[in-house]
Amino acid sequence: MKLKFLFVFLISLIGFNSHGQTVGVDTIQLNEVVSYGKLKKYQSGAKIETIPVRDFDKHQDGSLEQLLSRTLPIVLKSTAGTLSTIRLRGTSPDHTSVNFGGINLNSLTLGQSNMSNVPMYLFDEVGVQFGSASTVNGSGSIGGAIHLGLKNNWTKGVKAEARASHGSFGEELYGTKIYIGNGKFESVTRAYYYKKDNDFKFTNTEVRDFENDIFQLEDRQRNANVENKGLIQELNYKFSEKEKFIFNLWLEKDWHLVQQNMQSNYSKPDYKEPYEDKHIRLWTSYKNEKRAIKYEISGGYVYDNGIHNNNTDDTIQTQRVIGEACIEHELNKKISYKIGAKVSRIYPTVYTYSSDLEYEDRIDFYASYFHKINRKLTATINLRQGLVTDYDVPFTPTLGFKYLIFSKENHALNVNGNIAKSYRVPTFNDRFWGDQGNPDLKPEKGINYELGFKWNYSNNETSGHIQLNTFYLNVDQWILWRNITVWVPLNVQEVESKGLELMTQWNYSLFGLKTTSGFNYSYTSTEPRKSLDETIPIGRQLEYVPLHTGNFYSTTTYKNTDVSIDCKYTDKQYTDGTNKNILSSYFLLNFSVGQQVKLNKKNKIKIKGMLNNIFDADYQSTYGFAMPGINYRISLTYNIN
Amino acid sequence: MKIKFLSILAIAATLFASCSSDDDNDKAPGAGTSYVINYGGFSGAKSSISIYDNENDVLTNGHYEAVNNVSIVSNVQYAYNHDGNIYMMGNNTDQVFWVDEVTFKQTENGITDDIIKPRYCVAEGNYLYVSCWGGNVWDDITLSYIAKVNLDTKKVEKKIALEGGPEGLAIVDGKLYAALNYKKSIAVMDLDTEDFTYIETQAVSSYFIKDNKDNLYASQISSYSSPSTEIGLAYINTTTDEYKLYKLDGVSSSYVNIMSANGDFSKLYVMTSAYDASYNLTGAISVFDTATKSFEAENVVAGVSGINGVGFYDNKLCAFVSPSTTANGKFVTYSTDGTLIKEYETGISPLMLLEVK
Repeated sequence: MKLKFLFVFLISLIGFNSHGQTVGVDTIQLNEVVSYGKLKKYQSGAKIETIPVRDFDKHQDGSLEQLLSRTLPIVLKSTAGTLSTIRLRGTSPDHTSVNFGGINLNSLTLGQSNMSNVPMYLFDEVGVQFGSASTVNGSGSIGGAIHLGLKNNWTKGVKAEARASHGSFGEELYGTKIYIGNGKFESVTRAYYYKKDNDFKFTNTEVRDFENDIFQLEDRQRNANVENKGLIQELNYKFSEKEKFIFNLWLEKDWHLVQQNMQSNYSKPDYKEPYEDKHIRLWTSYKNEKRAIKYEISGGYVYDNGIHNNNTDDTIQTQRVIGEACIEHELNKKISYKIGAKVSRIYPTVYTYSSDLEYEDRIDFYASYFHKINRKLTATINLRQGLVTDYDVPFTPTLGFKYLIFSKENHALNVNGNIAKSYRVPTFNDRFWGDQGNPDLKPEKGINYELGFKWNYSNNETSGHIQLNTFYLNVDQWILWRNITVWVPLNVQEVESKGLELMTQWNYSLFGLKTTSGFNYSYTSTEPRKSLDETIPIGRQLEYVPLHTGNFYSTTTYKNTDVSIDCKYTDKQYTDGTNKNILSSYFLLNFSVGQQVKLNKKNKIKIKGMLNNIFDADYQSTYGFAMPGINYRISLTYNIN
Repeated sequence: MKIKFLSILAIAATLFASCSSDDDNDKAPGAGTSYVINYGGFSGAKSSISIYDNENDVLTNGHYEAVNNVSIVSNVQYAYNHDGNIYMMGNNTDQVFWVDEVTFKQTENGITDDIIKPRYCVAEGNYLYVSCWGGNVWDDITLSYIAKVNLDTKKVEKKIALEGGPEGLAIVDGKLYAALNYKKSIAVMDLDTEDFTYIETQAVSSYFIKDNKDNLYASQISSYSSPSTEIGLAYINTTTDEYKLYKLDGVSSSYVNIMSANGDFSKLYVMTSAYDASYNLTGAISVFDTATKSFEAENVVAGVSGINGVGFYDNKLCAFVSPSTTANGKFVTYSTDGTLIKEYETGISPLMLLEVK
């Protein structure tokens, strides 16, 4: 009944007309983010996608998991909002780096990030690099890299935003953004509080009542609550257009009860397993572009702490101090290069590590070269050599190109490609966990071949693109923990991932209404080719990597109102090495509507509503863990200035 | 007419076939049948049971599911045959559940009340004693207890507090011996008074084997929380409760069936780890001569990566192999001189062999 009411409410928004002045639905207009431009410039053959502002805005109340799974052909293995890990191009979660400034968010102990704990409200933009990116991001970017972006607005005066959202299963988000500045100095404060009770209903198929012959029943998820809070404080100063200082401090505290699988949810209704993460991430940078040789000096500090089951005795904590310096020299408009070095000192404090392990040093030297050979062809070379205390890191070069095949009045076709080597230094747990860690593990090594075509079309009424990328990625020395007689990490397997990704988006007029529609499809064939462990099924699709995924989205805008639908198909997935425990394919359909009202010159209100999983699909993303059925979220945003 | 006749023939054939099928079902396994218990994955699919057909030398997986039409919802840590039933210690879902030893059918619900992290069990008369960790015993050793299950009412009649993480159990002459996995001692409970005495040990213990004179061998292991170099097999004279250690390096600390005796109890097979020629740590099976009370100089089986339990059946030495908890494992048989006989694919994480006596 409640959902029906909400549905009617959302539909009614479409017809809602304000007496005030109206504007198009959009976020605060922001400047171009420099970092993505640089990323693309020196990696001309790489596939780097930035999520469109409209899509990004729609998912500001949620996590990175929701954003990525709804907008890009990316697979995530998730529970209901408590834990989500990425499988980019069939690789493992620790093969994708998540970057904030020069900080890789991935845990140094586990090697991965929980995508459910990265709040989109704190950021302005997210970019995803598909395929190996170690030459730019260092260790761990075998499958790709995610970049969390903040934009410099150089506000004059004061701007503010307050946001509140409410959703099914006790979901609430409260957030604010405050911009204060004089055009040169700027303070931006972003803060949020998010909670979710996660008490959704589902069909529990793991009930075993032999006496009453009941083997499934309607159940309710218990003890999977989430409570996250965070703050980002920016202090930026613009000496001139070519000389800037930025200071970003991100404080995050995430708490959740670890969602139990269906059988435990039923049999242990009072069982609670809390997990808490605390993070301090500081990144500051001074950039000077006044002379032919531009330079940037950056520094950072990271504190990560995890507490499982309220056990504060078993410390799992790491601290990092980071320094980076690079210079960029534009020899002329066609040739430029960049060289730099990044230094980190890591202090691990983990209860199972030897006390002899006080710290580890890492130094990365890198160089990038850009050459616009002619009007049509650009080429780039990236080189990186890492040095780690008592550990050998492979040299990782990348070669890339972009070629304009043709350019006509209304359309153009580009081809791009690259060959990139990548690597991952084993995690601290892999190397130093008690007696089981193995400091002699070899680094995982990847090589990625990429070839893509992008056709752009534009006329007065219609614009869009069709992009087709094919890739081949080989990851060798893939590390897994195996039971030899005790559990130890080993360089177990070589995995081959190949596939194609089709992405297309079109802006057009539909019955006089501005419409944007897009379709993404990915085919990812990921198979172990060799393995030390003979129980691993060689030549079979890897666990939690669906062969086919696709999504479609469409947004139509009428005056100040947006109406969107999006849907996603995920193919069946193996969940282990047997051919038995397979997750069924599933299809999710979502609907959203947004309305923006300009109250006066300085104040506007934006209201958005979403209905998710409209068909109430019963599906699982992680074997044995329930996912929510149909649910809603409504948000209200108030902007001043 | 012809059609009618054919119809009757068809119906008769169907009925005959059905009867034949029923007859096959009636030949359900009982005494002498062996089962491989597969622990399963902790976060993925749960336990499964494989049945071994000795006559045809075939191991068939998914036996519980085939009989009961549903899968097991727990990770079975240990299975025990007693008085017509096979009792299974299920974790995550925590329960003690049982099936008929002949049909393997489960008809009653498992016991979940007062059963938290059950590890092992042993029966005496009408009671089943279940060692339970009671929670995260590695954080708090006082959580653990012995659950005394009344087999008539199928209820936990009493929780008998026993700190130290009891694992393996054995009953001898009115005394319950409990191997403590988080405390360097073996608890001895008088079954009448339910009072404990303790045998001090030089390492923590995991499992027992009772010899043919009702004395006990206890594995002495080194663990993360209780490291020790004094590990091997402890011999406990159950008359005097005297303790003697026979040292052996590398005794497995896994929570699987790490020891098994041969038919006449002249030899004990102990799962260990050892370095191979390339200096890689792998699994091995060491042999303890019960007459000379010494370990043989050479391991009878060596170089088994992923060893996950041992057994002895039909005059064959058995090993379970499970390099991961996400793929099917193997049941491997050897002659008593260590010659490989055959390998069988099991379910995920096989850990013990249960022979219905």
